[in-house]
Amino acid sequence: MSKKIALVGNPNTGKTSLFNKLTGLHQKVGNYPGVTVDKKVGFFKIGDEQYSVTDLPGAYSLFPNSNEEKIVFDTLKRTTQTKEFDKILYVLDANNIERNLLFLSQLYDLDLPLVVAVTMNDVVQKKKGVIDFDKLRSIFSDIDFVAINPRVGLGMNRLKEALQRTDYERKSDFYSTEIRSISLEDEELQQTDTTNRFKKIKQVVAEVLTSDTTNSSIKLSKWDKFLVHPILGYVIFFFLMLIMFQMVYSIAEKPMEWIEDSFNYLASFLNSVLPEGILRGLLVNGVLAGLAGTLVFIPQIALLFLFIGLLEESGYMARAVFLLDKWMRPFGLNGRSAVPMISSVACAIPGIMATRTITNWKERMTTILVTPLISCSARIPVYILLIGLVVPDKLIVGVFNLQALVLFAMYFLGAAGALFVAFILKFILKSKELSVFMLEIPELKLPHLRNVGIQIYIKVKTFVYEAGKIIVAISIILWFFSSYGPSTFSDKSLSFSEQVKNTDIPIEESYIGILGKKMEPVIRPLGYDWKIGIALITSFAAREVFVGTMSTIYSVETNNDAPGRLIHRMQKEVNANGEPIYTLASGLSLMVFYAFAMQCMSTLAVVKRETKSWKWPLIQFGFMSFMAYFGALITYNIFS
Amino acid sequence: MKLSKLKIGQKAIVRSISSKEISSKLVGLGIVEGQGISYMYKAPFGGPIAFMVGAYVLALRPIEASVVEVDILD
Repeated sequence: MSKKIALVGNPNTGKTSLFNKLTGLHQKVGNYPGVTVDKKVGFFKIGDEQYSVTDLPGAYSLFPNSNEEKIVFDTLKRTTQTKEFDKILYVLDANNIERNLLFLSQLYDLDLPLVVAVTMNDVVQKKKGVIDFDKLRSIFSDIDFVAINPRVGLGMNRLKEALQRTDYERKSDFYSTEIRSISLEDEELQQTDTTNRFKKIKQVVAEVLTSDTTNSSIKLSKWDKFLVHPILGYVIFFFLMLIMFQMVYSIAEKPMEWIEDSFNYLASFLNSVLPEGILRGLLVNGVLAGLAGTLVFIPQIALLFLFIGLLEESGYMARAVFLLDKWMRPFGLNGRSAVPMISSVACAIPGIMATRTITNWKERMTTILVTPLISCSARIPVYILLIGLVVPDKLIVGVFNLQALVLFAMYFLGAAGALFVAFILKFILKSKELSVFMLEIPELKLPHLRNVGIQIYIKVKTFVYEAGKIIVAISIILWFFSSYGPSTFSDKSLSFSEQVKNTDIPIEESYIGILGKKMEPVIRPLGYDWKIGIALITSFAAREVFVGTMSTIYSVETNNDAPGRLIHRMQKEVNANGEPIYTLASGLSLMVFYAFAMQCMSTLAVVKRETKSWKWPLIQFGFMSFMAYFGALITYNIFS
Repeated sequence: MKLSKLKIGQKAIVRSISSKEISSKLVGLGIVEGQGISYMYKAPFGGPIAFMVGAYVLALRPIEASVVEVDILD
């Protein structure tokens, strides 16, 4: 039987650093039943004994301020009955001893088996403060207070010894054991209890902390003079975002190409060694395509979380949230929504995964729902192809290139669409939770690279395993409906197994092709023909598939970077009356469709993973399709 | 006076919290009667305000700060 530990503490105390130090990569992410909060559990050994440690969400008090903190309340309250944890490991930031003692005193009066890990004591000493831990221990019936520094591994052995101790005897209460019966609803009692606790804590702190500089340092640090400056602060923020894009675009591009190339190589290898038929089709065009569609996102996810991790770890993120909150409020969003939304210009997937830090349910849902409307990099090949096809390459007002202006307009449209929907959702989504800001702005520090690395590893791993399954499944479904059609099964002289061997039917005869043709009356008002209809369906896998499908339909060899020949072929395409299919009106209408439509199975899979239900991705798919259709319809009618 | 009416650099002592709805949240963060609090900096155009509460910096929206009654220290 392994021993169970719960890791508890205020945010910004080094709790995550300690969790990472104890467990390394032996972590897994699970679910708390019924909520969208991830449950982080890690494993380690002391001697031969196996320990599991649950990293509970950071909280300032036993009484919760958010859904996340409610989990902490529920878990700890339950533990007083079930004893499901052998030890509660409380992380106490010595630099914020007063505030950190509140939660500790609550846990102590609940009579939980506590061990206290004290972090940041070096910061206190640097400020010429001294904490009398012996005195502090005696107030808490001699439970262990172990000074640690998880960054360098200091105190870890003594902490492990303390976790093994069982000879503990409670001598006195800190304030009052009445806390054991205070319910979640009784806010008045909670408040009285907390206020009185703080009174007691103030006395205790006065006894144990000797410091010559209490509360005197209200001057801004030299960094904060710039970082939270009303003008420079924003300049720095946008500069950092610019670096983020530069990093994602220029660095992620190569490894993404390698991943795609190796899958293409593997596909052509399998094509050459396997006999033609259902197995080969399923493997190459279903499973491999799905795996490629999953793994290709790893470089972007890793890079964005490297960047976001550095911002979070250094304490900068809180300052950005502070500066941006006001600008996000009118749209029912929160300062924390800004970075996920901005990073979606590269890719919505890491953006959606980064919404985890938004604690307010409504604001988090809104951010997740609108983020895929921001034009991501997968839309670029589609925009480039269509702009090259229908927008003349000329200057207007002497300086602006018309094609570039249209591309800019598409990005603007995406961002405007996202904010518009967020504004609408403000009135639709119901939440009992109050929108509160109340953000601690931690002191700036050098980021701990190990923490950033572990976060990247965990994010990539969860994406590959959890979203990956869904992506491969959708990919197999898409493969089946694009490789088979009624004609496959029409020749009655062949047995079923012989029928399914033939996967080489023209795409217009496949089920998807037939659906594309069938829906022509629906999409004709947008200026599309059935060939475009087919491409709309196949690009559900990913938007850039549009280019590949067009090449297949028009039998043109092409690649994303130089669509010249495909553009040539598409320009010649005419309808039954001899009029060109791709006009300014139909081209713009198609671009607007791609700007708004949820043409990305990987994003849907990630939304399912993050919201823990199919309800939200389906709602999202619904309203985005609606916007795409009517947006395209309006565009077509304006320009034709 | 209201906490939100403080000027940059001013120090005050918390007297009471007038809003029932968010008082329990503020209390948990250390905004309790008798707590020393000072105004550090703010975001422009009515954005959040950063206060030093004891030994740490807490940012509140002006509407959140306006429910805290304080007595100014000179």
